[in-house]
Amino acid sequence: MRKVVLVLTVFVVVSLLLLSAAFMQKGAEANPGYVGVNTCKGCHEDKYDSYAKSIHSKKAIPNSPANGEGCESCHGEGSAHVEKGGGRGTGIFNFNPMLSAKEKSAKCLACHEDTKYLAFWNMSKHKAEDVSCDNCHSIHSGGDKFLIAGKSETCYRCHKDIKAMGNKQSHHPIKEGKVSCTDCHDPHGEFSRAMIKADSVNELCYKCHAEKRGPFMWEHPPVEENCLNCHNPHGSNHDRLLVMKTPQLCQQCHDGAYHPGTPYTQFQSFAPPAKGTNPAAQLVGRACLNCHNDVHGTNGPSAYGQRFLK
Amino acid sequence: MLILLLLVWGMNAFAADGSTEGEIGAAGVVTDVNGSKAKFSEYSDETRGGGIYSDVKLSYDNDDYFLKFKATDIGYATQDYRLDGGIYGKFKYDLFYNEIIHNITEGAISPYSGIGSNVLTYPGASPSQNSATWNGFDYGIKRKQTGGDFRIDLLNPFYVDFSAQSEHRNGILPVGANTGMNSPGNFIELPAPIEYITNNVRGEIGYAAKPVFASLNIFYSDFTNDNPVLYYESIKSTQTDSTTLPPNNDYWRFGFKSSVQLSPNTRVNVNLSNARAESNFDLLTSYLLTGTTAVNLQQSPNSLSSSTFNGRKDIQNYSFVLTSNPVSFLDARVFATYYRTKNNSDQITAVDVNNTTTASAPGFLFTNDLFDYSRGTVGVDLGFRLPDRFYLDTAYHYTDLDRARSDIPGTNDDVYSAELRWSGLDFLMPKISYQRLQRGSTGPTAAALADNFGVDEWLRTFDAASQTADTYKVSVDFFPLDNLDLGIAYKYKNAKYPNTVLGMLNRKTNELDVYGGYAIGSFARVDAYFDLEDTNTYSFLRYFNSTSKDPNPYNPSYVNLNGVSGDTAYNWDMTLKDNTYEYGVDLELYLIPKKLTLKLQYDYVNSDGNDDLTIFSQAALTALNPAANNSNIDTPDYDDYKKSAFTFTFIYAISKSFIMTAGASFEEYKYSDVSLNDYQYVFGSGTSINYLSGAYANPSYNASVVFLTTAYKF
Repeated sequence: MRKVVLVLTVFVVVSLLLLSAAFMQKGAEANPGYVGVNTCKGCHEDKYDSYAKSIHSKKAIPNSPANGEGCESCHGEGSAHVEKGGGRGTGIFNFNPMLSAKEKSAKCLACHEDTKYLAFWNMSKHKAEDVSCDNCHSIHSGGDKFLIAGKSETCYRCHKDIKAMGNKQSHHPIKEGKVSCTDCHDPHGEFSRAMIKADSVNELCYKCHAEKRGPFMWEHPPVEENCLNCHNPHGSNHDRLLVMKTPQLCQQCHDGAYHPGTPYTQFQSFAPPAKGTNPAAQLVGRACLNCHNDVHGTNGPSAYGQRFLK
Repeated sequence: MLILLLLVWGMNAFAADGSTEGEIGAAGVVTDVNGSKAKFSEYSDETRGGGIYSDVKLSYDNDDYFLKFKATDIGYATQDYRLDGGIYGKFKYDLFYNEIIHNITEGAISPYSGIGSNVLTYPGASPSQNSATWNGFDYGIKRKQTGGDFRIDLLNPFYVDFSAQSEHRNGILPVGANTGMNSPGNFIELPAPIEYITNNVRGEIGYAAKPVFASLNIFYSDFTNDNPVLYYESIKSTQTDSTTLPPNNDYWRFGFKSSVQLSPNTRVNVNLSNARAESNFDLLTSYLLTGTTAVNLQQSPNSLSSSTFNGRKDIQNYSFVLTSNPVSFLDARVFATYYRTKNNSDQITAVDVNNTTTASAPGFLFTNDLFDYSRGTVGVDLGFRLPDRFYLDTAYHYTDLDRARSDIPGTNDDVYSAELRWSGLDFLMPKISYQRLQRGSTGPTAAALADNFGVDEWLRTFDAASQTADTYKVSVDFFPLDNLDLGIAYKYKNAKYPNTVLGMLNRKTNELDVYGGYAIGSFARVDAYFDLEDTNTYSFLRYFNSTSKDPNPYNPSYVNLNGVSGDTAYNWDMTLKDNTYEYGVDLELYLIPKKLTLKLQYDYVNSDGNDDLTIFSQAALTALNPAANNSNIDTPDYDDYKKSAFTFTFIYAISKSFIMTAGASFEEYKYSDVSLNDYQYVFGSGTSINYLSGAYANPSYNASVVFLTTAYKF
């Protein structure tokens, strides 16, 4: 209890300090010197064409670049660039790696932060890791939603380990194109850990797996608390995305009298050396689930329900 | 009707100046699969041996209006149709129909008839043990999703967003049905019908204009199962037995989200929500004991406090996050979150004198526990921009979790983390990080210690047990040339459970990723990757029974305590090893630039698992099998598999609009596992005959696919 009070006190003090610092900051100022889109088009026709085909060129959208300075809404005034004879990054803003993520993202956020999609970018893990908008999006060469690659391929450019998990034998159909990373995660920022699109892991999973939601009469507490106690949603070597095969997964928690505490060896399988002379129902087939089918919860009667047998 | 209206509206828009684009494609595919067609086409509809798959894309766009239509795999179980449209600055909509197939096992068998329904019967007095006479079917699921999203921006900065989706899921999945409580009992693997409908509706109204974003949102989900109970003829008699399936349920959630900019670099964010999940189920008031004896729970001496179960859970979530960049070199994030579930479901009490483990007892009381929990988390993240483009990120998070569970009713986590990265060069980005989890736990309670012969004095479940975990990560991305990128990332995690005597004691994971891409002028491009994941888990456990009643692992192993046959207790351990590596190469050769390209792709995955067992009792080993010893009881086939896929594709651009591709792919999947090798559908003897149906069995395959595609763009 004392520790909780201490931590909460520190939290409140730090918050007050940050809030007081907040009121001492100032905003940015505007700059003149625009040359117009036709000037840009003169040298950068391919870039102009991609802009003209995009949503950014629609005057019907209030505050779009088309209603502002066109190309220069993002790249800044171009007069210095033109006077110096052009050249990559000469006298003009371009999204190059030597600029900070904050500088590059600020260009996009100037318009897009006022939307529900980016309202929480400020607390995004990607922002904290200095990922900028142009790491995933390209206005001039991107595809759907200006993504550099496909929906999940864009994420895999950095999250190689997750891509590798998706190649395992048990996986959500991400590489098959039926599920995408953004079905579960919001890369632009969310309140929950790992930026998932729900207040908890279970509430997220139940959106597609509503049959697991219950509530059930007989519940399995680690299941109710967190699906990730037993499953790895990104991919697994074990069927049904389990982090471990049964019966071993179940035996990590259930060491009771008789079969929960029994070691299951290859002598109890169908295969050599015993060749099926003494197979254990707890090992072969679906192992524990051969009998304890309702591990996600059940409304079964008395002892059968309590032990997830019916 | 709505779709027609929108299409007509769209067609009228064609009268205005705009651009129309489209693409029509068709792919002819011939497939030859030896082995498991279901595993080969787990998420695709290639079980027919091939076919012609067609795609259509149409889009129209002018200054005011846009309309896009996309159809893929037309007519197949993976078909997808999307219609997007709208008037810029006013509204937009998105309508879709999508099918997802999940093939699990083809050619499963069962002695039962009525497969696909919730009433299963077999001919004769008992199920046939001759699997050759059984009925064939497939395990798998099909999802059919219909829905749409509609957003109004007319009242900018206010907006309204509404979406709805209805999903119909049908198929067959395996369920296990056991005949009794006595271990092992006997069981049968049954095909359970899946007929689910899930309807999700979401609405949101919001305001988005600096410095405020705020929204109110509501989400409602309704789940219906046409078959809440599966009835099947008992394998021990011809009486009807039953097992429950998921109940109908619904869920709603009200939420408020806001982000307010206090200054250019400071924002406060709030997320508040209240949700409720409800279910109702007519309880089974009778069941078959050991598959033979009908037990009526509503008949004395048994009793049931209610024949209906009403489930209800209330969930609240409150999150506050303050982010700030108070000085140029500091990024700060301070947060507090409280998440709570409250289980307000019915508590049902049953008196059932027929529990076979205590048959002599005068009565047996069963009351369901109501599980719920609350979790509070506070934390601070501080990021420091150091000189020479170094960035140091530090964080501390504290979580306090209380749960309605007697073995481990509470845990508290201290998580410390630090990450250092450098961006001083545009061609090199190294990063190193460390995280320490320190978890403390409370319990077990007296109630837990009174259960299961007191094993909870030593047993700790890994999900909540006291734990220390150290995670180290290092990565480097290297771009020495414009056309060359390389990367390497390594992660090591070591989790220990210091207060655990029985259960998981240690889990170590090593992960390595190496990747690179190189463009060889305008002639070729090659991309390659390698991934290694190695997990090692050690657990210490004890076998005991209701005669020895001795879960104490510090007692020596012994056999025949007090001369009682079968009265044994001994310790044993398992070391689970899971080693997976995969690699792949993707080569594009531009044989004739922009005209003819050859793509070669090879991917390989190898998984090798092992369960290394040690039984600390020679008597127990001998009782298992006279030939058993600690060297030959291990299970080296532990979800082992090798998967390789090679594809070559010629891409020929006949013109800017017309592209043809032709190629072939060869795929092989070899799987081996102790639970499924040398599979038997019927095993056991005497009155303990068990029946399997083939679920997940024999997934190995090799396949060849030849394809020819054409695509026309306009």
